[in-house]
Amino acid sequence: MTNGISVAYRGTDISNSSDYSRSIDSRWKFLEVAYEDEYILNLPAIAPGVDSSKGYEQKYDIFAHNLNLYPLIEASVEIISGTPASSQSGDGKSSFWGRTLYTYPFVLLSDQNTLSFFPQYFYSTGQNAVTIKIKYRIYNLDVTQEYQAPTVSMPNSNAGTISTGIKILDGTQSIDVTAKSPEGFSLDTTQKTLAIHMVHTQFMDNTNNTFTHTVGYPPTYLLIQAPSAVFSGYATVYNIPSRNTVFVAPTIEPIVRVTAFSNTMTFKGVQSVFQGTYTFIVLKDPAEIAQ
Amino acid sequence: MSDWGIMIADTDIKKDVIYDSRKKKVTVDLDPAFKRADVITLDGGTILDTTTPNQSITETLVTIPHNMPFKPQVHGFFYVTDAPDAASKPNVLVVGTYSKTVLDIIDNSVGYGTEAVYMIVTDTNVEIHHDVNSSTGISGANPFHGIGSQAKLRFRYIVTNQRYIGA
Repeated sequence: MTNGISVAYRGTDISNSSDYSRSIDSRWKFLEVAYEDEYILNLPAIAPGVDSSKGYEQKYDIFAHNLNLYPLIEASVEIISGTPASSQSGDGKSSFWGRTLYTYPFVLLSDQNTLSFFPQYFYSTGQNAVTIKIKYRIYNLDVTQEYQAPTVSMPNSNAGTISTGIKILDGTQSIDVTAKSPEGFSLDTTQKTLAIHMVHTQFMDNTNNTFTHTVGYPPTYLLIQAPSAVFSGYATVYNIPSRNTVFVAPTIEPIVRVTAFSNTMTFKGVQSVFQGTYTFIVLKDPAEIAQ
Repeated sequence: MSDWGIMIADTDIKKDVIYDSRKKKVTVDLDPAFKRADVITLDGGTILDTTTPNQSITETLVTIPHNMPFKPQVHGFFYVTDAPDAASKPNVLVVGTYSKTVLDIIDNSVGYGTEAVYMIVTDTNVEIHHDVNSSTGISGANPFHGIGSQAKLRFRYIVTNQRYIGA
């Protein structure tokens, strides 16, 4: 390392610390929040017999982030009023967002500057008006750019117990520097900052697919569905051109078998219908549950 | 944005900042006293049988206090280690399945029902719930039989410093 700063997790000798035992290292990217907010969207009623594309092909712009990149997004949707398309009611657990997302498939997509909502099956011809609340968090991370950070792995590294490090108050909370708080600090190296080891996009089918990450331990990861190919089942039918250049928020839990090893990741769709392109956000954080 | 923090530039602080502590980062407190990042082992809970069509039965399998001053954003990941009787059920989970937030044990088999475990976050806890739902259109007694405890699972979670918006 020639320029920058590294701070080891509390009680850890910096010269003998692996990357997962460092709180910050200026050579790495982190999960840095650019924007977060919520948006109320009123979807008007669609009379029976009206062009069905008013439902599943409609695009509603939610927020102009203007980051000039395809960002990583977390989002959820809550139904405030109305009942979405009954044909997709599934198990009817519309009050629980996780199941709602599964029951009412829709997509939140972002191009390089705008977050948008596509109702898809959620909302179609003959549909009554629906009001939803969309919560979103947009990160300063381009999921289309392949990225791999340097790996630092020391055989005797561990996390100690001495509370040393750097803490800087940000003035937003009525606390002093000795406080143990998840908010109120612009920097707190007693907390582990989730650093990004790798951003990698790869097509997945129902065979064993593998890529190499070389982080040196089975890592934690986030998995998101990447461009429109993942919706091939839908896109083939509905052929929505505007999806060809955008990325999807992780709103539908992919049924994917992922096994992480020290230097590779193996993954497959458990059914052929789940094939498509996926982006892995590999974190510098060990302990993968598949081991 | 705060006026206090650390900025690191590659060559010029005015044009190529590579680290700015004032911009909010996702962090997790690894203090073992709080257990804000952990892996637990569990099974799918009680073997629940519905008695009528369109019935839902729910139980709480695990409650983990997060000890945060607000409802936090949590990343939870399920992993299936074993499901010995799975082969006798339609649309059942697959050993080795990885799933974030929601794991469908039996996945919305038409005319049958669903069974799932899923994570929810409350103001005080991370909870894992288990539910079965019989389908609307089926009839007869005991229309749906879950596999419950036959499903052996691991669950890894990370309680972050961010406020909850869903997964």
